[in-house]
Amino acid sequence: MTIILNNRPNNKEKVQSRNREKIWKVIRALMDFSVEEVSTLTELAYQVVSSYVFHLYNAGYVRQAGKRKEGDGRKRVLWRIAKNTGPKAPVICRCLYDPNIDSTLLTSASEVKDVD
Amino acid sequence: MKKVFAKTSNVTNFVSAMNRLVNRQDGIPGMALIFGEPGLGKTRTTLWWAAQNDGVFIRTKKLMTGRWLLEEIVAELGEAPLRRTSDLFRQAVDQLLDRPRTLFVDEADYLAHDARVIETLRDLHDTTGTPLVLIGMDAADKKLMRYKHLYDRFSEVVKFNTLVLSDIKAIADQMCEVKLSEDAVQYIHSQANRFRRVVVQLYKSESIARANSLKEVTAAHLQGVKK
Repeated sequence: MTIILNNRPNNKEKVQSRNREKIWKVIRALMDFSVEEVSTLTELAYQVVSSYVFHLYNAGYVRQAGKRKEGDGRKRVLWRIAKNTGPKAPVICRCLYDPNIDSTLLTSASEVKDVD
Repeated sequence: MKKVFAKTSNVTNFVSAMNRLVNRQDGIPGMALIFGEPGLGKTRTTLWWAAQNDGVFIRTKKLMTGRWLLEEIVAELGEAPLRRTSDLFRQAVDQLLDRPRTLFVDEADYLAHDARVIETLRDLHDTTGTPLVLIGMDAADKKLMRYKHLYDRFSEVVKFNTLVLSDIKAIADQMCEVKLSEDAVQYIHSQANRFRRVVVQLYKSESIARANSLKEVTAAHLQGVKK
C-alpha cells in the first residue's frame, strides 16, 4: 500500500481557518461583544463561535467584562478583547510543552481542534 | 427568535452600493461614503459585509496623523510596518496591488480637519484602484464636501436613515417566529425606531404568542401587556 504524503490543508481545515479569520476580525473591531452578536455578524453557528471564543478565553486573549441584558430579559456574558495582537487569527492546536526548556512545541500529531 | 442579520432598507442600499463599487467599470472612481446618525448600525453593517467579503476594517483615532494611519493600514493588511513614511505608503500599495481588498475607514470625520491625512487616503485609492469606503457621522458629507477632489471620487453615497414601517415589517418577517398583524407592526413603529428597541418588542410578542398559543399577534395584545 502506498501512502501519499499530502501536506496541503484539506477542505475542512480551509473552512476552519476562514471561520477563524471571520470571527477574529469581528471580535477585534467590536471590542465588546457577546457570542450571539458575533454569530449573527459572521453568519456562523453559535457553537462554532462559542468554541473559538472559549479557546481564546483559555489563552487569555479575551476576558469577561460583565453581563448585558438582551431583549428577552436574559443576561448574556459580555466579552472584551484583552490581547489584540494583529490581523491574523490565532490558531488552536494541540502541542507539547517542555518545562525543561520552557517552550511550546508542535507535535507531529498536531491537529486543529473543533472549530468548523 | 431567529438569529439572523436582518436586512433592512439601509442594509439593502448598502449592499447594492457595495456591489456596484466592487464590480464597477473602468474610469469610475471607487470610493464611497456611508453616513448617518449614531446607533443606526453603520459599523455593524460594514463589519458584517467585511466579514463575508474579506474586507479590511480600520477604526481611526482623533489624534491620527498620516503616518499613523498608514502604519495602521499596513499592519491591518498583515505586514510589519517599516519606519519611514514613504516605505509605509509603498508597503500599503504593494499589499493592495498584490491582493486587492476593500478598505473600510470607520469614524472618517475625525480625519476631516486634516487635509493631508484625508488626501493620503485619496492617493492610496488613486494608485491602487481598490475600493475605499469612508464611514462617518451625520454631517460627514458636509465636512468632506470641502475637499472637492475627494468628494468627486465618491461614486456611492449611502445615508443611513431611522427605521420606517416597511423596515420593521422586514425585521419582523426575518427574525420573529410568530406572525404580526398590520396594526401590531404599526404599534411597534410608534413605540420604537431603533433596532434594539424593536427587538425587545418582538421578543415580547413572541412570549405573548407562546403563553396564549396565538397564531398571530395584534396591536391589542401588545398594548394589553403594557398595562
